[in-house]
Amino acid sequence: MNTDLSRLNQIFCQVFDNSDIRISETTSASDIPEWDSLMHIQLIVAVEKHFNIRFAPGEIEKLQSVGQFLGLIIKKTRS
Amino acid sequence: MKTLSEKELPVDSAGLLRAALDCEDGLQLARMARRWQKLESKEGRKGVFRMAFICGGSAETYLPQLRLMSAARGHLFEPMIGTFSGFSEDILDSTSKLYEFKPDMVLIHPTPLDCKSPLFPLMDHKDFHEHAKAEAERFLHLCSTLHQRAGCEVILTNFEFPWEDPLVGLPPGELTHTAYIRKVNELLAVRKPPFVHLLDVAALAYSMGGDHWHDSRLWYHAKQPCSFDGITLFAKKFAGMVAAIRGSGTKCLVLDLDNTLWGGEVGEDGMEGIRLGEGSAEGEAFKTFQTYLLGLKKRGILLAICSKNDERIAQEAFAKHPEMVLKPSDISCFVANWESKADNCLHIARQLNILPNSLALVDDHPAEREIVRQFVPEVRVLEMPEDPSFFSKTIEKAFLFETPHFTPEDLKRSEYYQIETKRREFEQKVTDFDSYLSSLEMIATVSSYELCDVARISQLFNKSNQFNLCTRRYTEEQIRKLIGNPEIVSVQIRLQDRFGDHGLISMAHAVQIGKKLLRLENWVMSCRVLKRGVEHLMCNLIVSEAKQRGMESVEFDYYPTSKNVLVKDLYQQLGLQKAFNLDSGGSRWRIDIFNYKPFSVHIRMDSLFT
Repeated sequence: MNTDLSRLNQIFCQVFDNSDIRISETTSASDIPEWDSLMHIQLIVAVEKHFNIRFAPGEIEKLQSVGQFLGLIIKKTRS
Repeated sequence: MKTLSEKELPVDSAGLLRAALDCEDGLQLARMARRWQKLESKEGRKGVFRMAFICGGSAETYLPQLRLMSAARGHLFEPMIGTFSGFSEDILDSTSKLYEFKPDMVLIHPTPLDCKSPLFPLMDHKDFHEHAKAEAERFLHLCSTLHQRAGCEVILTNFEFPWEDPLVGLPPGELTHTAYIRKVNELLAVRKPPFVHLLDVAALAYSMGGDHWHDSRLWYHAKQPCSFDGITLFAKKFAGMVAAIRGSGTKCLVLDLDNTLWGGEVGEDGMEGIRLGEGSAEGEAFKTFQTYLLGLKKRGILLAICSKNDERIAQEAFAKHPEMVLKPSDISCFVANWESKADNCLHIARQLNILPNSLALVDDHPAEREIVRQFVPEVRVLEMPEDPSFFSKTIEKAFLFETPHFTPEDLKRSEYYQIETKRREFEQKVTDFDSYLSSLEMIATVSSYELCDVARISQLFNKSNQFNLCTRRYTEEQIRKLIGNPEIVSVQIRLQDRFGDHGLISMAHAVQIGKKLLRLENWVMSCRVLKRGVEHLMCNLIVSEAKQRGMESVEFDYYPTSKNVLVKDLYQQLGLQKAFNLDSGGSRWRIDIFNYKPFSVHIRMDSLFT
């Protein structure tokens, strides 16, 4: 779980092009000002590439926080 | 697919522009575009022209990448995003923000959803054709209205094939959604006017593979028209087209020999040891690459050789190896020595009389590529893969040779440069310049602008950067209008000499102001015929025409740019008097037409100018 969080943190830093970002499970779009709908799809595609998983359209909309990302990542990588 | 590591990702503007050109990772390109945009507010960049976007999808999802890529090709624009899917709204309403913006160029990018297709399979072939034609015309009519009102060039995308087609399975030629889109695309290509430049999205999607290009979820979530990798390819094509329309583009491919045109090193392996042709898989790949290059040469791209080799050994292998597809006569400049490639590239540019930024280097060796990148940054250095089977594709995906208008001169360009090489060799043997010029036996065919030469006239105005007095660019449409205009005096010169026919190489036009004054609008000449007297001939012709019209004075303007230093002193050399300075560093010169003594030139006139 901790490794997933740190990998996800690295992805956030890359997508937002900001090496100072530190995420926690509760981090959501309201915590990162640049996290809008355009950046959201970049986040989705980057996470998919990195973890080798795929999100459905319904899931994309529900991914509002880091915790939700981690939940789906675990579900899709472990099953 | 190459992805840069965190350390390799550039932090400076120039680095980001270079990296964008070679980028294949869609997410990285998006990131580089944002990083570059952030630097913009600090650097105070200003676009050199205005570009508007009317898109069926969300332009915000890909505009940053398009802007970065276009800047990387040397054409930074100020953007404006039109109404979402507002093709009719923005274009037909003459009071729209689009016209307020005064765009120089507009990208119209509909998606397949904007291409209205009727209900299948209720139609017959005749209805099918009528509907496709009406749909193609709908878009072309919008483009024409836009061009008429705003005078801008238009880049229009065609349509990729529908993602789902329930009619698939019916025999080919039947009326499927895919066949319909194919028909509309075909009609767009065939019926489009010259100011519409068709961006072939269908070809891009095919080259990448539909699965890789398409991602419905991105459309559902943010109306992004394709995947991030698709955007990358689109951006490269777009930037290539913009560069070509605005008059820059690669004129010459500089090729290495060892492991670029054949496998192995001819100096080490000997002519018998290099791999080329049917004997091996590697050899076949290089032979195919040479065939591709020959095809480029035939359509007007110059080929030069730049190899670190003993000259005799390199030339012998090139001329004598039985599997060589390229021949010495296909090469406009052959350089083989032990000098630095950077110096050699500059030498090649000088020999061919073109600017270094018209060259692109194809070289398998990373160190050689790096030297040229560092010391001659204007030369485009292609990042080559290890496998020669992908060499031609790498060149293709750089979109260096977009050609908005193809003219007969293009087919003969390589020959023209060869003629020039022969002439130079001849020149080196002659000591008296006047006798030399006379021995060239030059004949000029002179007239006002002819309708059948409109494409070539527009091309020369748009591509000439050095001998270009006012750097005003003209579309074919604008040239046609000049021909019909009685207030305009125009001169075009066609030149031949004892070595061959050069085609149309210089043109100028001037506008009559009031009853007594003629003022030059622009004057260009191909650098291939510099300092032979064509400049003086043109001056004679303009003055002669002015006198015939009863003018009392003729004014010649000069606007300096970073590229036309060549003609800085031209007017002075022609004996004109400087009248005063103009805005933006320009100057206005006058000629005393009553006391004008025509220059004597070693050029015979074929048909007299009436």
